[in-house]
Amino acid sequence: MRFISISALAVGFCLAAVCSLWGAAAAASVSGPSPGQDAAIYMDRLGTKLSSAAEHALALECFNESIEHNSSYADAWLHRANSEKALKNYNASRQSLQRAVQADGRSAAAWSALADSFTLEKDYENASAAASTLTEIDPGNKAHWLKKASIEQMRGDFEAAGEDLDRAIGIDPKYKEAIYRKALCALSASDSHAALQLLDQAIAIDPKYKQAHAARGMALQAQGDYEGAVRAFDRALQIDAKWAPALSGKMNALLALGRDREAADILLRL
Amino acid sequence: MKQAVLTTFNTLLVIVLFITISQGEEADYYDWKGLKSYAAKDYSDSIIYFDMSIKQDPGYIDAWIHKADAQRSLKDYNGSIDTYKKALQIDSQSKAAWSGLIEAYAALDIYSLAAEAAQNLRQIDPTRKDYWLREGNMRQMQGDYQAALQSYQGALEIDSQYRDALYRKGISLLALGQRQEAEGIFDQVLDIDPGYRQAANAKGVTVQSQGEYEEAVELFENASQMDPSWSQPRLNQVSCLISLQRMQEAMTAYAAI
Repeated sequence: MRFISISALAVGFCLAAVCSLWGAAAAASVSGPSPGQDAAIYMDRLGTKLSSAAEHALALECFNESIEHNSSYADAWLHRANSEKALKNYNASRQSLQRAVQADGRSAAAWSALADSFTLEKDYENASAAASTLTEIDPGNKAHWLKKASIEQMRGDFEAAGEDLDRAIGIDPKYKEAIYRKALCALSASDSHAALQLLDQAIAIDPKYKQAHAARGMALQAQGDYEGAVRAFDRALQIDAKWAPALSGKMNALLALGRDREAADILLRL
Repeated sequence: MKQAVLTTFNTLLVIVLFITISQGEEADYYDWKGLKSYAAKDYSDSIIYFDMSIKQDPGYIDAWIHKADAQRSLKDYNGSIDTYKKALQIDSQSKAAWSGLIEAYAALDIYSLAAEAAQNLRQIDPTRKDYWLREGNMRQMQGDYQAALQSYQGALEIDSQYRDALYRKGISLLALGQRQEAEGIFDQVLDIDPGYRQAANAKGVTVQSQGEYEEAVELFENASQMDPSWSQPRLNQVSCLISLQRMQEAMTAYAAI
């Protein structure tokens, strides 16, 4: 506790020193960015350093100061949003992100974080719109397509998700996350055979991809092959013994097989 | 001469008593210091103090138990088991020592010994319903669902509305294939406490086990609404939707988990 207080004091002194140094530097500056812009950049960088040290409350003060110097500085809004998120102020975080994209409509990082923020709030319509903008800004980035596809799946629009995933796989044919998500699209269309082929492909790329093993379990369950499903969930559990989706899937397959005692063993441990 | 011997004897007696009392006080003091470190989560430091306390008075059971608790906090489960056993050599009726021993065995997944320890604890005070429950829980973790039923019955004889014991009884019945009886017990729990989310989920599992997937989907929805951040009922719901071949709903729900 005492250490924390001392750290806070030390950071406070540093802040004061930095601010006074900045004042002197700004006074001396005669060309380049305006003193306000430089101050905004400096305070943003200082905030980022504090943020890396998990000093989110102090970092927030720096970002606020940066924004006071330059309210159209998108990075400061974005970093402020991250600190607010770390402090679990989700609404404030989303509002900061909205200010970030207003300040710089081409900031992929801000649009990506905004899509995540809407997803966290289960506002999938706005999340999808943010992710669409993201793919427009940088269509060559496979992760942007995957993000948009994941949101479309949460909305229940598997057709749109499938198109996005094709774009991602077109950029990187070995993109296991996109192939796995494509398998979920196939499952949503009741095409468990296609889903299994895709999942085998994902597992060939990464045999320890637990999500793909669990999805195999669901595909086999959809085919009524509960024994096979148990084996698939077991493979996922060999990778991560405490992973809830695999435990739950196995429990449900065991119930369908009438193996109630084993199912209860899992239920107790969930 | 006789007077001198008596005086010497009395003086020696006073000295011995003084030393004994001082040692007792020092043992108490070091134990208190250890507890302060323990409260500050300085478990290693606390063990040093508890050892000093034990050195002053090896019969001071509190220091042994506190040391074992600290060892357990440091995940030195085998060490803590040895220490709890030493405490029990001093007082075999120490509830705190038996209780700690149960936790240490459970942490090592040695549920047969945890259940034995829980049985000993329950025998010390059979009027405590939570001791019956704990014994039952260890029996369940051991996989002995039948023996667990008897323990829960003991708890329910003390308090027939004891929801935790009823819930666990329902799990035992489910494990033993008595699905309808289990469902009835979960209903009873939900009558006592409509917000008991585990019972709501377990009722869904029991209904699902009887192949009534449509009803189970609704039950899992209710359980999920009790705590939207709890993924368990949602995952079970996905499984029911797959069994009903409602694949688009299943995958939409799964993608959002």
